[in-house]
Amino acid sequence: MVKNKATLRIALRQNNNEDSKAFGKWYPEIDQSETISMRALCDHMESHGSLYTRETIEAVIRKLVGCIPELAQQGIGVKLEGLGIFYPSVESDGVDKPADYKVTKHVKAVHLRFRPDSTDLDNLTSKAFMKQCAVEVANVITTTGKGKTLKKMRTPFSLYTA
Amino acid sequence: MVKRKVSLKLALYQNKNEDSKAYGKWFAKVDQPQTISTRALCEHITCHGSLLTTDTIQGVITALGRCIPELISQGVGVKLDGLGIFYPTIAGKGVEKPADFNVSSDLEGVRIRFRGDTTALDNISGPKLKKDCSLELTSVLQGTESAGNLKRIPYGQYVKDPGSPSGADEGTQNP
Repeated sequence: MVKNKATLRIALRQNNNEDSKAFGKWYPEIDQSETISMRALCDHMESHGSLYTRETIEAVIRKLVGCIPELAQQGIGVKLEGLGIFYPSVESDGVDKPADYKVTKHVKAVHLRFRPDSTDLDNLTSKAFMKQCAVEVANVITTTGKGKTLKKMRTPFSLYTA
Repeated sequence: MVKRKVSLKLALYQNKNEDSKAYGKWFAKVDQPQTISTRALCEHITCHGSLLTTDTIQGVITALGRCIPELISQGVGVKLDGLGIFYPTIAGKGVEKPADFNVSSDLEGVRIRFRGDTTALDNISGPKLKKDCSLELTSVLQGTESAGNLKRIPYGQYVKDPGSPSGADEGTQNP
């Protein structure tokens, strides 16, 4: 799938929660993850030498984003092969007996959920997907303060461990 | 977006986990959810009177299925306006000090996550999506699928006479 594998940069950060069993341990997280817009995605797809132009790609995506929530509202999940399944779920309060249940009061939310494809050819579940990534420990994050005053400082991994 | 709203059918089920605080309470879930394939979705889109043909739609979806995981494997999230954001997260073991971290043994997985769009025009977050749905209680579930004794009783019938679910069929019926 990927010809020139760009690396997935991760950073290590220490658990500073004194109530946690894992207090003091260092855990990995995605380092400075960025998000690209739909237009940038269309450009990216066109640059892969696709037969489809940016306009066509954008038109299809716009149709998809209209239809997927519409179908989810009817209880119908949608499978995009090679990517995964979008499906609806309900967040609800509990009641003592079915007759007490009021949809307007007890249903708190309807969520659109996504589950990555797990079929043999297109397995994107966490362990299989990790094998497609070239992971590199780029930084070590040290923090000061808590909550709103939390500040993160990044030190290159090689410098920190030297 | 939707002209004639088809309802989202809900079923009530009882929490049977004795260790749970919510033991014995009844909760709602989506009743008999179904999933349509990519091809069925393409046909659905063309039925909406789109200028795009099924093969073009299918081709673009295939390209999306290739490019989104590729970008995510590089730590780049992707936002599809009106649907949401795909982004990467990782799961790993904790180590005593950064120098001990070994990518091949301490990293357990890279996950593709999805978060519904929450911008003002295209808000499909939980409470907003609920408002867009026409919710309907259709069934009460008794027994469990794993035990092989799952019974689906029409809601109206159950509420009238909870003690005798005798006439209940497996299929869903509207109360």
